[in-house]
Amino acid sequence: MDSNRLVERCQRGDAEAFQQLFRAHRDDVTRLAQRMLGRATDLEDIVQEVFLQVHRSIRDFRHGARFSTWLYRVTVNVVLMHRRAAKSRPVFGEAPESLAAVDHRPFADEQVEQRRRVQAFHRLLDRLSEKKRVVFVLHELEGLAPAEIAKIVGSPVLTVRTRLFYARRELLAMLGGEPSLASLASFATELSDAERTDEATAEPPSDSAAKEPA
Amino acid sequence: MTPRDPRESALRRLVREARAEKPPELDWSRVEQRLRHEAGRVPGAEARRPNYRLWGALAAVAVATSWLVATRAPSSSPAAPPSPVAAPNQVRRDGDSMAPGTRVTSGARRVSVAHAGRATWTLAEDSRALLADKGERITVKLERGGVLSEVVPSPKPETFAVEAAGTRVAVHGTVFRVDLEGGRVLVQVSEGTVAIGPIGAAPAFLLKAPARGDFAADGRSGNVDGHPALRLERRRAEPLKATRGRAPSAAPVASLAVPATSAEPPNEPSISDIELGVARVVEVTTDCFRNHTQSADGVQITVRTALSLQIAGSGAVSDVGFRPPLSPEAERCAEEGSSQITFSPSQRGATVTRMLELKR
Repeated sequence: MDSNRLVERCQRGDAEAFQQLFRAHRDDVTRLAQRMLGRATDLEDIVQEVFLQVHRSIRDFRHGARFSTWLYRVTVNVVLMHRRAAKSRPVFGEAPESLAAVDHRPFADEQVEQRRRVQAFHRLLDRLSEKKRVVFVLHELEGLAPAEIAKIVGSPVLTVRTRLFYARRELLAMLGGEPSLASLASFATELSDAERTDEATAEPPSDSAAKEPA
Repeated sequence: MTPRDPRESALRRLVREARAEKPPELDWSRVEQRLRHEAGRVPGAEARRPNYRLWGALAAVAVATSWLVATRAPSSSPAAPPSPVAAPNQVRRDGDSMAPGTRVTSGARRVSVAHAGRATWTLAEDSRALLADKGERITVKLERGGVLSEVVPSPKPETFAVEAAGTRVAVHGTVFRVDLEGGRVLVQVSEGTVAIGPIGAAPAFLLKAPARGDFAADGRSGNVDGHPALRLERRRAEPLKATRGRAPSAAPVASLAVPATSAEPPNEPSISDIELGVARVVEVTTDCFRNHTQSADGVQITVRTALSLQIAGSGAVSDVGFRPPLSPEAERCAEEGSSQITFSPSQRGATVTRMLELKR
C-alpha cells in the first residue's frame, strides 16, 4: 500500500496503518539517522522519537506534499536535537580495535580498513557546521536533489547549493589533517587514475554556487 | 581544485564507501513495543483535529523551538545555533496584538510570542513572563521558568531585553535563552552578544556567543562558562568617528557609558563602542546590498549572511567578511564603507560576528 493511503488511514486514527507506515519507512529513518550521527549508538531511541513525532503530528501533514520529504524533515530535526543534547554529555565512542577483533572473513583487512576510513570520514563530517553537514549528508549520502533538501531544511535552493559547495571544500581541506586518513594520501593518487574509468557514481553538484552571490 | 585533484578522488571514494555502509539491524520488536507504549501516552492523530494554519505557524517558530528543546538537557557547553525545525508542541501568539502588561503563562506546551520582523520569544514549559514594553524596545519580564529569544538583527543599538529577578539582559540581534533557577539567572547565548547587568544600571558583563553564564539575581556578579565573570571595563565611551552612515535612531547606548577610571586603553572596546560601530557597519552593508543587487520589479531578494568584523587595537576595522559571501560589488562597497568607521582604541581589539538579513 502506498504511503499516501497509509497516511490517510493514520490521520483517521488507524493504529494498524501506523504500524505499517513504521515498518515501511523504519529502514530509511535508521539509515539517515546513522549517517547524520556517524555512529550506531542511540539509533533505537532516535527512530522511536521520529515515529513518535510522526504519530503526534500526522494530522498536520498536508496531502500534496511528499510524505518521505516530511519524514526526512522530522528525522533531521530529531537527530539535530539529539546531537545538541548529547554535546553536554560524556561521549563514549566505539572501541576502534573492536573492528579487527570480529572480522575474519576473506579480505577482512580491506573491509576493516574501509570501516576505519568511513569512521574517519564521519569524524570529518562531524567537524562541519551543522547546516553544512546536513545538506552534505542528504545530498551525497542520501542522494537527494538540492530542491528536495531545500524543503527539508527550509532554505532556498541556492543556499543549499552554497552550503554543499563549502561543505565539500572544507572536507577536502580537512582530508590531509585527519591522521586516520593518512593512507588516503597515498591511495588517492592511485585512485585518481582509477577514477577516470569509474564514473558510475553520481557527479557531485556543480560548484557554480560559489560564484553566485549568497 | 581540479578534477584530477587526488583529494577529490579520495573524497568521492569516501562518499561511496559511506553510502555502501549498511545500517545496523535494530531490535524492531522492542522499538515497536516502546513506540506503542509511548504513543499511547501522548495525544495521537485521532485525538487532534487538523490545523494547517498551526503547522505553518509552527514551522515559523521552529528555529526557536529546536534550540529550546536541545537545551533542555543539562549542558556545560552552549547550544548550537538553531536550524529550521518543525515544532509540534507549541502554541503561537501574536505579540503585535498583545497589549503591554499582558502576562503569558505556559503549561505543558511552550508558548511562542512573535513580534513580526523584530523578535520571537518562546516560553519553556511551566514558565511565566510579562510583556512589559513593546515600543522601540521589546522588554519581557521573566517571572518563572525560561525564555528563549530570537532577535532579528537591527541597526538600532538595542531592540530587545529580558529582565529576570533584578537582572537585565539586553541584546542587539542574537539568539539567547534566560532561565530563572534557584534564585540565579542563567543565560545561554548561541549567536551574537548580550549585555548583562542590574536593572536600571549599566551592563556589568558581556556574553559573546557561544557562552553560558549564571548570575546572581541582582545581576551584579556571576560566572561565565564556569569561571567568575569579568566585569566590563569601566571607562568613558569615546565618540565614534564615522564618515559614512547615519547615527542610529535610538539612543540608549549612551546609558552604557560609565565614567573613566584609567587612562590606559581597555582590553576590548566597550559594549557601546561595539554596538554603535556594528550598527553603522550594518547600515553601510544594507545600503551596499541594496545598491549593488539587481532585482526585477516585484521580486524581493533576501540574503542571510554572517558578518565577521575584526577590530584592530587602534580601533580601525581591519577586516570585514561575509559568509556566505555577497556579490563582489556589494562586498567591496561594504568593505570601503566599514573601513571608514573607527572604534575606540583597545589593547586587544575585538572580533564581532553578526547574522544579517539583507533585503532588496
